[in-house]
Amino acid sequence: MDLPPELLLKIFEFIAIPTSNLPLPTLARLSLVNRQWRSIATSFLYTSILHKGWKLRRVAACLETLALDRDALSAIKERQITPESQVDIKLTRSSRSSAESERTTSTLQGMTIHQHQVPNQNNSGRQHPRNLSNSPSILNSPSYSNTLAATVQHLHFRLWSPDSDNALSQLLVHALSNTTNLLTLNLSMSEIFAQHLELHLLRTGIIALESPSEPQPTLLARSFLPHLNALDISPGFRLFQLASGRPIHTVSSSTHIMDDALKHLVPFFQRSLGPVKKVHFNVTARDTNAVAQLLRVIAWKLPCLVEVFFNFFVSKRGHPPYSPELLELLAPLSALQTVEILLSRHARSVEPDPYLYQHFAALHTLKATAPNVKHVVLDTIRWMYTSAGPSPTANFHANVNASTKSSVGSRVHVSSSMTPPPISPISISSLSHSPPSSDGPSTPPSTGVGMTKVVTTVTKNGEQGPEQEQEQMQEGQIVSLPTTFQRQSTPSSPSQTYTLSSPINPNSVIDIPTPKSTASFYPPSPYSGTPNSYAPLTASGPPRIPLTPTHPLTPRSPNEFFQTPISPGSFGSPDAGMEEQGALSPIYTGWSPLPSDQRTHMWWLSTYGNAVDARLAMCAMWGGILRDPDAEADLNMVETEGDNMKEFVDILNVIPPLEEIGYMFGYDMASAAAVGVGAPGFDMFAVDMHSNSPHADHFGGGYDIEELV
Amino acid sequence: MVILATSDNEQFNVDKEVAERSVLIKNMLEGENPIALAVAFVYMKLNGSFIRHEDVGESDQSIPLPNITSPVLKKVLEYCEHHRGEPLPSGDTDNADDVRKRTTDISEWDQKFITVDQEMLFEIILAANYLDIKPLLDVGCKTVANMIKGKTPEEIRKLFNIVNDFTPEEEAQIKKENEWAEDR
Repeated sequence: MDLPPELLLKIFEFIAIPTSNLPLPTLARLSLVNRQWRSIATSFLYTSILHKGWKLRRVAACLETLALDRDALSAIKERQITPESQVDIKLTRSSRSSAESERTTSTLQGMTIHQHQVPNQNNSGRQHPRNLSNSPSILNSPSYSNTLAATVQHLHFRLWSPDSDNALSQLLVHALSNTTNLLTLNLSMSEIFAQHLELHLLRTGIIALESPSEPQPTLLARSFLPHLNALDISPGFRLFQLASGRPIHTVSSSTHIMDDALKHLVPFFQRSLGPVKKVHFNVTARDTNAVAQLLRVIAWKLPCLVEVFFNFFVSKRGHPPYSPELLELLAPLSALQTVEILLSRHARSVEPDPYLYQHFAALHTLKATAPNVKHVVLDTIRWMYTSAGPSPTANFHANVNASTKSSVGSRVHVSSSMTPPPISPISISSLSHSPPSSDGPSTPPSTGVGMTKVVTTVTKNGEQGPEQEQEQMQEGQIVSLPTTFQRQSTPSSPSQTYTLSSPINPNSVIDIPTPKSTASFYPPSPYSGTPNSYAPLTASGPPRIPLTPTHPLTPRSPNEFFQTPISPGSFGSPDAGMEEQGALSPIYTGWSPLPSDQRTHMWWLSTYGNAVDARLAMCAMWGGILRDPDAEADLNMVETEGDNMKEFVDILNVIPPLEEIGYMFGYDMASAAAVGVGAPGFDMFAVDMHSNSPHADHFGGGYDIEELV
Repeated sequence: MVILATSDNEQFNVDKEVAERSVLIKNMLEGENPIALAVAFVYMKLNGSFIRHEDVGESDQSIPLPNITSPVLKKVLEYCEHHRGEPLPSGDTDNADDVRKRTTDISEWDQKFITVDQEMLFEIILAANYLDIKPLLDVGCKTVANMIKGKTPEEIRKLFNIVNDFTPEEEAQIKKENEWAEDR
């Protein structure tokens, strides 16, 4: 067989990847074929060290194999593994000269580990801490040295056990010390495990206690993961200090980090040899001003960023909403290509969030300062927690209050919602080991890296806590209307648009509070109370204002529609904000056309049960569509019940190029189909049923409208 | 029509649509891969073949494929002809890759097509890799993967005529170090 390594790797992928779990025994056998095969099999074998489905002793044995790959660490290992730890992990090496077989017993978290020593082959004089053979390990022979750990380039370690005896975290550090060619490191672990890991790295001098300006790193620190370029750690945020001095270009975490802690890490990111190009964090902030400040710091300190993902959560209620100019803070990032910002607040914040379209001006500004930006997602969400929680059998579902999603560039998406991922009690419990809390600041479940956004509200059907009832917005309640209409109505040229509201001197020192302890890096857990403290919030959310047009919106020319003031009554119900504005026309007139090379090609709008926000987002969408003759328009209505569907019919009559309607959570197929019939020019009815939809068994995929009508 | 010239100087007249199943040829025809073209040109010239750079893509001149022999190209073209008109794999998105990797099944026709001797199988894989025909490469790699599954190291060595370059001690050590993988 004479295939180049890249093709052999591809063949191995077909062996390893199709199964959900790596076929470890198969890979172990493949590593015995010859040296070339061993190297490739090893790269698969040690890529995913996942506790799920693994016994702890297997995790330990796997780490041990990596850790023992080079005897340089023997002394450290000898020093750190003490009898007091009650973990006696036998470190053995084969010996050619000695045929004796030693049997040792180790206890790891209540389990007994039996290890057999195979004939040792050492002959270099170096001794293993436990195995006193005088011959060298074959792993250190020139033809064999470091081919195991050094082969590993990607490591995903997941362990949610507490590691109470500290053994696995030590082993992990030793293993990582040997994986000198590691490129990506993904650690998902319990908080206690993370703290142990941090302590080991601090103790060995691999990371510094606080500041990046501490004395020169030790030799061990310099040789620790020298080629690492992507770091994903959840939690254990101090470990992000590893970015300093390494070619890290991606830092990410799926657990929440406090805004101060993240600011504290920025200097370490600055010292990356990468430079850092992608950041992906879930941030719990003191207030919305802290969010703005953090964005400023990051934008100024990490100017090479091309991809930004932030899931912001303001933990205390009563703070003002996020500024609609928030996106403008990213203006220093001229290389930016992807922005995804989730703005979530505590549900008890009375002031409503700005509507999506209020961010549009900032979006245009961003386009001007970052010409390569291709994808922008902006969501606004409010989280809700109350004292009563779901029973284990409760029916969970996501309930997005008002959210917005938009993309700019070659593909532009505008939506007022996001896909609601189902969440089960099991998945919730897996996010944290602590029970839910009913008091104090709450932290939402984290949004996983690269995952669909997670739940915004955990709801128990049919119940509602008294507290929640009081704070729930009432139907017909005043909804503030955009304050940015005037800004939007006077668009300026892209090159003139951007001004920082509070310019920052890039050279200035930003006072960043230093966390006093490891614990301060971690936001309070949302599940620190009793398990049943989730809110029954079915009826919560923004006002559901019935849309009863006072006069029918008949099809008319885009310009005519666009310029016609729409009375508040046209969009239903008493909405004081609308009344103050008098008309919604400024939304349209304020929409500035994009430069021809950045033309909007598609608008995608989805609504999520909030008719008011949906309508306003749709208005904004029309603004874009009407000024972009090439645009395609997709309307995706998510969890919109029949009443809302009917309300949309009149509106849809005036949308010129609507081509597709996506309808999820099909509660009322007939109404949805009616919408399609009412919308001229559209010919596709895409049904994207969620698995818990009552129609899920019957529909799926896309249907021609004729088929449904 | 496109003329493809193999390393043994045989020429194949191929419908452009069929030839463009190969991303390499497609790029050559569109003038997007001048480096590959230059390499091919030099190679052919060194081997006595003749082709003019400016002629590539024109209907009466040939595209040199210096890494492929005529029997192999014939097989490759048979595959391309059968799959003509099928959508080409989209980009190099991770999702598409994952789906392809997870699809271990090989269609009936592809299975028959790839039932060849081992030498030809590897030649087809190498040719698919060179010509950048992802679906064919996948079929070849899946076939080899299926041949490997369930076999012992010794059987694999025998099957593919692989020399065991481990010493017995090394083998023992590798068994030891991967013991954890067998532990359930």
